Amino acid sequence: MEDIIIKTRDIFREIFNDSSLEITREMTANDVDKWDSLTHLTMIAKTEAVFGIKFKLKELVKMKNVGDMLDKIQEKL
Amino acid sequence: MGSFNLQVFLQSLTYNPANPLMYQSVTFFLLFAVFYIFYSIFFNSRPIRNALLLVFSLYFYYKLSGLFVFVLIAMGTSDYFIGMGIFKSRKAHIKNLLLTLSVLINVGALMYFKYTNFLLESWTGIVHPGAEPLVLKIIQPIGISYFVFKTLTYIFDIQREVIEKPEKSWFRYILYVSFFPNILAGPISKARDLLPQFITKPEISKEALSKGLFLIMLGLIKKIAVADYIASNFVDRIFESPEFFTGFDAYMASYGAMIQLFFDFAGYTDMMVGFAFLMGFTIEHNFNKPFLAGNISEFWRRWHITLYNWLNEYLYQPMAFAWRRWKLAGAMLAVFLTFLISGLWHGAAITFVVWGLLHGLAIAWDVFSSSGRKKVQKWMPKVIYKVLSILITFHFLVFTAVLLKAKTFSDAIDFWKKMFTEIDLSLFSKWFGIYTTPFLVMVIALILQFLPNKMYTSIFNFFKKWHWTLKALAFAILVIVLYQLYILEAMPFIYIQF
Repeated sequence: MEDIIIKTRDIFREIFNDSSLEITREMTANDVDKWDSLTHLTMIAKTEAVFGIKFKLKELVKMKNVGDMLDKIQEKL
Repeated sequence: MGSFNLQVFLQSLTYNPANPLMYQSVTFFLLFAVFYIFYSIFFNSRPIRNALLLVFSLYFYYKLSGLFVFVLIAMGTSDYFIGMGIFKSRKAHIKNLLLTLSVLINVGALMYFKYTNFLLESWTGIVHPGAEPLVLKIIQPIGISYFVFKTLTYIFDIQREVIEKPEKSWFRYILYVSFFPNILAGPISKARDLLPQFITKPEISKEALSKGLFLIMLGLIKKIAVADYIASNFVDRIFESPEFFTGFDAYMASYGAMIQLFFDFAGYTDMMVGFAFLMGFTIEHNFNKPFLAGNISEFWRRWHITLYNWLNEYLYQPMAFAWRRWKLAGAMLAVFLTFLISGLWHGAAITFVVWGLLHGLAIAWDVFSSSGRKKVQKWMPKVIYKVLSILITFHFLVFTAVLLKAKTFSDAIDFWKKMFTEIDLSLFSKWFGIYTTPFLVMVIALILQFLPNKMYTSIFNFFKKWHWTLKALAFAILVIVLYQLYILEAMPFIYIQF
């Protein structure tokens, strides 16, 4: 899980253009300034590429925060 | 005084295509009052309460659209079974197959009733230009665009497992599809929000009753004193025969058209949300001060909110998700297609398609210009920037609203030409002399739009404290006064036709 968190944090830092951004499990789109529907999809695409996984729309709809996403990544690895 | 004629009375209870039941009519209020007495008596029994709601909703739809009530029931029934099927089947491909079947049935019916003639005309226009197109006599069931979207939320949400268990009761599902406060022109309530409310006991608090009555009164004012008044006394006259009017008339009528559209639809929605409150239900409202939007993306979060949410959740998101690797290009294509479909949904005509595309373009512009606009925002005083964005957005809406009022695309082009080439500002005082009241109504209505919510809350809080007899009296007086304005025939809500 440690490794997933670090990699995801780096993706967030790159996509949301903030080199000091830290992620928490409870974090949602409301907590990050540049997290809108467009950057959301870019972030998802990047996450898929980095981990070599694929999300389904159904799974995406159900994710309520960063914690849900981290769990889903771990499940798929 | 004439004696009571049973036959005439009974006949008045059946469907009359020349005179469908209007929401803002006295007949409707009387029917609702009779229903409400029974509803209150049997409120504590869930089966009777729901049965009364269902009977009243279906009867209301019958009074609006006649035997099409069976189309409504048939389409609801098919999704009731398909939803069950999607839930029960274990294999993904069967789930997908059933979902496709539901979409085919719903969109197929919509296409048949709404778009057959449009497609025939377009086809003739392309293949045999100049030929008289074949026009079939197809009448569309009222509200079909709305109940199709409503029932589809159930199917999509079951497929996505957002709704975890399908509705067991067929009656409740049909009640969800036909629920009268949504049936005519939305709001498009989602199954996941509305269906559970038929299972738990609705709560009718004093607050909800006051809110309901207040919203119905507000809606009546918006519909009758603003929308219908400026339509019949100014806007419609000019759009019907622009050739008799000056460019200045046309220019002012385009403002009027946008104001009319908003107050018509917002008045209807206020009333429907109000009726739902009276019965103990909460349905989402469609508007949040749309003319305060600073750009078109924001406008669509404030205008026809339930439609926008639907399109966003079930159309834009799946497309944008599927094309996520194309980055911005994928998202832009999704935006564009969503607004093209939104335009077509609003009406089967080139005018609506162009209107949808212009809105899609405006949103694309919002995305591409966002960093540039941020730079402008930095050096421009905040207030000026805000006022300018609101003014520009409002004028985009006003100029594109011409497409929603004009009968054909070439009429819209002529109207625009007139608006922008024949303007003679010196005519203002003469114009003002003729249209003093409609103009003042337009200006006051707009100003009321811009006032803070706090003001409305304090008026409501004042109203809430009144004794019920006083509230009922206020309602009666309002109805009497408003109906004095109705010298002309009651006009249907504009959004019914979509």
